[in-house]
Amino acid sequence: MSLAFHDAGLTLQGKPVLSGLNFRLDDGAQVALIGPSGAGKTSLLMLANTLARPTQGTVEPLGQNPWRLRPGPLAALRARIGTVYQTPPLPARQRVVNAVAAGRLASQSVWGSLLALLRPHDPVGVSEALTRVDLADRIWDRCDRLSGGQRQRVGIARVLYQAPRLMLADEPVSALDPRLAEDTVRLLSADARARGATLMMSLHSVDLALAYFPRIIGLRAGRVAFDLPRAAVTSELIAQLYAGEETAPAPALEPGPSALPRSAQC
Amino acid sequence: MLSHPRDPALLPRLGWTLVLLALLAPTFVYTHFNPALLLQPETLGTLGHFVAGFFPPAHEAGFLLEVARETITTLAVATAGLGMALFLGAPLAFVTTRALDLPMSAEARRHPLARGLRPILRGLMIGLRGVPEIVWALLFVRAVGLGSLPAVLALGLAYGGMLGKVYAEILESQPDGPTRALTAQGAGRIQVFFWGLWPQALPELVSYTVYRWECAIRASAVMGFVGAGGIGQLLDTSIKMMNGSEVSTLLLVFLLLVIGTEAISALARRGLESRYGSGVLAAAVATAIGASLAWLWPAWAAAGADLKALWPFAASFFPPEMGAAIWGDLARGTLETLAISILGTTLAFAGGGLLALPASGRFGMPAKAATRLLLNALRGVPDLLWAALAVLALGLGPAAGVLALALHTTGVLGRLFAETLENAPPLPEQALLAAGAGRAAAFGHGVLPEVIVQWLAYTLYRWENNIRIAAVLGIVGAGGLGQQLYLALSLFQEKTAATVIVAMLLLSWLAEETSRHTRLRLAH
Amino acid sequence: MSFAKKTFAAAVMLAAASVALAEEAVLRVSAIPDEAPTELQRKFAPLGSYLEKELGMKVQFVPVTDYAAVVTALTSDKIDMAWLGGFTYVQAKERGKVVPLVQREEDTKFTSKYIGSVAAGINSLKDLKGKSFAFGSASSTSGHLMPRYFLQKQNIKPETYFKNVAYSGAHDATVAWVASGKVEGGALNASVWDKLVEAGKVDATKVKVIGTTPTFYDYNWTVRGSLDAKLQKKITAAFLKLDPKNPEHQQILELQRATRFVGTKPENYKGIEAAAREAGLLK
Repeated sequence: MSLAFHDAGLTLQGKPVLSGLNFRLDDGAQVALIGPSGAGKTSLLMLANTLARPTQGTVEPLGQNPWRLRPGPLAALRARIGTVYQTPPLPARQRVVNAVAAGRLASQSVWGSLLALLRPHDPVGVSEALTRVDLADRIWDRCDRLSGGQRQRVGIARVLYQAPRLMLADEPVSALDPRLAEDTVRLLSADARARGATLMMSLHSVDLALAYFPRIIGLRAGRVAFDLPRAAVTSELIAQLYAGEETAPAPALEPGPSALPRSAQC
Repeated sequence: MLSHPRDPALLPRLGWTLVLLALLAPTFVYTHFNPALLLQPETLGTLGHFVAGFFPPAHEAGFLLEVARETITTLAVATAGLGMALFLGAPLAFVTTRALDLPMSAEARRHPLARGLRPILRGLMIGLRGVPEIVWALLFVRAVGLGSLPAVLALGLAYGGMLGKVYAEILESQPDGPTRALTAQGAGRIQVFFWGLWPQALPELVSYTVYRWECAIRASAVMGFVGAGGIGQLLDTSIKMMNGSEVSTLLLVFLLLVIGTEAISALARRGLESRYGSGVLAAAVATAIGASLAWLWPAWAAAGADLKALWPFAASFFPPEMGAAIWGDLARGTLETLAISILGTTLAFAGGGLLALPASGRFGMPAKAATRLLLNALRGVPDLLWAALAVLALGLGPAAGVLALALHTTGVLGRLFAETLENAPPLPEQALLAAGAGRAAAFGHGVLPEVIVQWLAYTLYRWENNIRIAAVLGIVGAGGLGQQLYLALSLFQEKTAATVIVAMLLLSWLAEETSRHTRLRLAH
Repeated sequence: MSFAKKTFAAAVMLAAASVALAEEAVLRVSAIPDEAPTELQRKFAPLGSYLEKELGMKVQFVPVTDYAAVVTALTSDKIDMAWLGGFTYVQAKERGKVVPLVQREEDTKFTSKYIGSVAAGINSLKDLKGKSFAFGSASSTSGHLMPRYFLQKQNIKPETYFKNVAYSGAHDATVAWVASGKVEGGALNASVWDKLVEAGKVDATKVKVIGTTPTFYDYNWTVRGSLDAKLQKKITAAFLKLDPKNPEHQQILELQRATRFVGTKPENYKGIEAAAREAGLLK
């Protein structure tokens, strides 16, 4: 079992974000997650990758409950879960080689990983991962010198390099042009298939989801609206899923007076 | 006839004005601050005589040699002190920052000991930075002897606490995407820090550290007022002996020092952006700290300072004096400190507001350049040095403290106010001008409402700072709690000194709380 | 804990340094900074070389800018000998074992002067009521303790009688302050006053004497209690040997403002101690 949600829900600041989630992904499954913005796709993925703790029910990635583990086993579990984030989590000024190599930090000793900051670890492996996203020539560049799309692909290269058992992707192609987007979805899907890993990807584009994923989960208002094989997803279902897309504008915060700048404190 | 309904805001506004006046009026009495005194012929005569002595600046070879030596000592003290602060502050920040607190399972929660440690360390940092560095210096002068070692220890402790807090805040203000992602992959706390936070936080960390170094140099230059070496010691003697020509040489050197350090720090910030910048910078810092220690070491060794004396010394402060005799003095000192800080800050608010108009370019470029220069000069001279000079003008006592605070803070606030003015949207004022309003009216209705809350907030922040400074100005004879602290330490009454320090900390805590609440009210 | 480590490292190095110092025989001498540091150095130079010759060892002057620090340095054995005021001697005696050796003949009947600003029309202590007043250093005998003590004998509590009480830090600074109008009155060591008058450094149109205290025991040369007894004897002998008829000695004595040196003993300072307790400066 690669990923299981048992009656899982998430309530943040008294507001239910997700509720009553019940589904399981077998080893090697490939699932697309679709739904209107605000439906809870990102939160669901964050429950799956252990960054968020369910407030109801349990979430068990790779057959283990992360919230019952001691630090060592927890780190080991997390090392086998890889996530592509919507905004690539790359520190400014970090070099691409380290940004990608960071995918395998969990398997290194603390000292080894600190040393690697000075002398990058395994540039050959990193460069292979980068070649797959067509960025091998930027390996020694700083991340903040890349375009948004390139940074997105560095984030993908990191997960490819990590080679996790459970691969999660949160709108991984939102910053890419349509052709590159399709190539990338295909790349991730093929990589997962080749390694027998499980893939769950949220997508804004329904077409991409239907084209590459055998199973589609539709999420609406924090609940699973449907969980069906591709063939069973009709255009009515899609229309209902996105119907009257609600927009809940966040209350605009009136900014208070700003604090004394640090440069005026001595 | 039309009957006007009353303005509902009228009474509260009137009330607040009365409260403010009620607060301000006694401050004049308590501090004996009388601006007219500044213009009295005797004062002007004394000042004129003193300032006339500025020319020509002292330039005998022997004196200049001594100045050069003490200038290097001042630099070395600041650098070594900051080095110590780094050793202290960086680990403190790493342990206490919330930036690395990422989701953990119930079982993986930190050890209770580690969890208990954190509030203790936070408290330690508050204590370290709550006591002003000059007070630390005064204490260490007593504990380990005179010279530069107490100054280094004082800077190290006070700035260590400050760096610890600000580093932690800088780390917390970084985008948390990278750290969360690394945690989700199973990286440990140290790995997450170096791979996820360090690369993006580095420029801000370095820039703040370099800025602190500038502060350290100014602080180190006045440490001499309590016998902790550097050019401050020469200044102290020259001012006490009213030797104008020496004072002018020293002020010139001090000014050059401040300008020089600003240039170096600008260079360091730029250097960081270049390819090998970080490496070069790290090497330069290590060399500078090493060279500083090498320069200071012979004097430390010769003075035979022994740090073992610290523990019995620290123990002699406990328990703080609580006898009835001390309360009267303490109340008088506290009121005086409070009055100095309130009046000084209020005057600075007025002065800063006035100078901000030309400084923001409202009266043309030449006026802007000239005012900026003036503001920089006001700000560049540390408050303690202003106080030593103000004592000459107004005589000993709290009035000199008021003047010193007002001058220095005018420099700080003037610049901030000018920046606020420059950043204010121009449209409201332009619209009023276009509608035929006069310049003053357009400013009053189009700009002032936009900036006033920010100005008040800045002033309140600065007041928190000033109350700490007002508490130490007594060290150079400008009244307040500082004088009592100095006296108690001179007479080996450490327990009394402890009570005075506690009073200082309490006062500064009260000021912070008052200021925070007032700012919250302002924001609404 | 990096601080603990550093402390330990520093302690080790300091220990090494002090061993190195102990090898060559050096007498480390200091003085309370009751005058400008440059003046102290100038005064000490010939006395230092005389002592070097008499004792057959190196004599090193350690300049210190803080009264209390001299006391601490002497009682923690960082210096061997110090020129102390009566009050600082009592403070030192309270904090460790010290031995007073000699004092100037003048110190046995010392006085302080009260001075006032001419411009402010000060002619007596009564005129100073509600005005500002400066002592020298808070730790000074003739600049603070005794003037305060004798004021209290006249029922004058400085903190309430004067508008402001300030501490100038040194005797010559007190004169400079009164002359400039920074304060209206002050108190200082009579000997420094006389010296400044002789040197023409006092402007009689600005400052005048408005009173003199009764006599008391003041300054002495004190050594740390752990100093070799034979060396203590040699130092005492060297001071007592100074003869005003010898031109070389005459120069030293003149700089010290002494006619000759005489022996002293702890009992001489009982009066100072009592005064300090009464004035609340010693607890």
